[in-house]
Amino acid sequence: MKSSAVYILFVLWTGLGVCASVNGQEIQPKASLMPKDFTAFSWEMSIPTDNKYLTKNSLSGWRLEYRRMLSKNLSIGMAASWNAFDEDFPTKTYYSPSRSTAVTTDMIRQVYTVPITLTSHYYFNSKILLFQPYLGVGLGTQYQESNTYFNIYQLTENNWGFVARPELGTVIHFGKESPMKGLVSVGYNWSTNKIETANIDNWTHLSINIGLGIGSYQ
Amino acid sequence: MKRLLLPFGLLLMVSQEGCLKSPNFDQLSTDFVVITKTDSSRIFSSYSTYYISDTIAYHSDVATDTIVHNSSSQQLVNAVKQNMSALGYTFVPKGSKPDLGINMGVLKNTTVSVVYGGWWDYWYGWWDPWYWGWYYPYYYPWAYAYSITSGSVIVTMADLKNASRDQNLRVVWLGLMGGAVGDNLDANVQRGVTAINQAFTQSPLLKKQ
Repeated sequence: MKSSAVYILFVLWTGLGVCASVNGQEIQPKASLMPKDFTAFSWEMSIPTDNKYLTKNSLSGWRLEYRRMLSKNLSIGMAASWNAFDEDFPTKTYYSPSRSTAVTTDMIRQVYTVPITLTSHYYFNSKILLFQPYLGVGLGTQYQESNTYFNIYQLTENNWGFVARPELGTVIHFGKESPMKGLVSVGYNWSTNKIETANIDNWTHLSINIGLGIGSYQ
Repeated sequence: MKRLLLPFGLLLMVSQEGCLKSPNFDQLSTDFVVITKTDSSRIFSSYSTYYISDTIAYHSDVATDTIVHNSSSQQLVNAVKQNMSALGYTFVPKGSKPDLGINMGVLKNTTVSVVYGGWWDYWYGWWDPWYWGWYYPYYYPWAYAYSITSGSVIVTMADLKNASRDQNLRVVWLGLMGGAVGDNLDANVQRGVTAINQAFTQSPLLKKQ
C-alpha cells in the first residue's frame, strides 16, 4: 500500500512534467509563476516506514512553511510539521534474545514528531499554468516523543535529533498572478531520534501533504 | 521572515500542549502485566523438589499488614503448585531439604521503584533470612526497574540445593505481576491466578528436560 502510494504520486508528478512540456504549447510564461514570498499550511498524512515500533498510518498532522524565491526557479525557507501516530497492540509475550526474560501485556504506542527544517526547493519550468513541479530538501532538527501505555503503567521518552527531509511535489497555480497557491507533495522524513526502550536508533516516515498557501509578488 | 517566527512558535506550542492525543485506555486489558526472569545459567533438570508456604507476605498501606493466610492466598499458592507440578517438580515439606524454595508476596496500593539487585532491602522484614533454616543473604543476579501503583504479585524461586556452596540464596526465577486492582477481592485474586499461570507459561527454561 505504501509503495503503491509512492508510485502513484511519482507517476502523478512526472506526468505533470510531461504534460507541461507537451500540451502547453500556446502558453509560454516568461518567468516562474512563483511569488516572491510564499507561506503555506498543509494537511500532512504520514506512513511509518521502519515498522519497528508501530505500523499504522497517521492522518493527524500538519505542516507550516515559508518560502522565499532567490531566483525564478530556486527558493529557500523554513518549515515545521507536527505528526501524531497511535496504534493498539493486542496481548503478546515479548522475549529477550536468550528467552530468559519475558514480558506479557497489551499496549498502546504513540509517537509525536515535530521536524523543524530549513528548506530549499527547485521549481521546474512549466509550459502550462496549472502545475509547476518541484524538488526540495529540508535539513534541521526533530523533536520526538514516544509513549507506551500498558495497564496502569506508562513509558515516555522524548529527544531531539537531526532530520533530513527530501520531497517532490507540485505547486498548483490558480491563476497566472493569483496569490493563492495549492501544494501537493510527498516527502521522506529521516531522523536520528531514538526510542531506547524499543532499541530503535532512528525514525522514518513518508509524508503526503495537501495544502494551500498565499504569496506576494511585491 | 521574522514575522513568521511568532506564528510558527505558537503553532508548535499549541500542538504540543493541546493536540497530544489521549489514548483510549478502555482498549487496554485489565489483566496484569506479567514479567519473568529466569537464571539461564542454571540447569533446572538438576532440581527435583520444592517447597512453598501456605502463608504469603502481604504489604499494603495498612502498617499492620504483613502476611495473609486465607482462602485467597491459598488460591494463589495452589496456582504455583499446579504449575510446578506440571513442569515436573515435586512438592515436599520444608524439613525434607527441598531443592527450590518459593516465596510469594502481594503488594497493594504501594509505589515502589527498584533499579538494582538487592531490592528486598526496601522491605525489611519481608523475607526472613532464617526462614529456610539457616542464614544466608539473598543474592539476586539482575538489576531491574519497576513501579507498582496499585497491586502486584511477586513470586521468587531460590536455589536451596546449592545455597551452602554458593553461600547465598540465589534467586533463579522471578515472576512479577502487576496492574490495576479493583474492590472485588475475587476478581483481584483471579487476576493473580491468571497472571501466575502466564508467568510459568512464558518461562520455558524452567521446564525439566
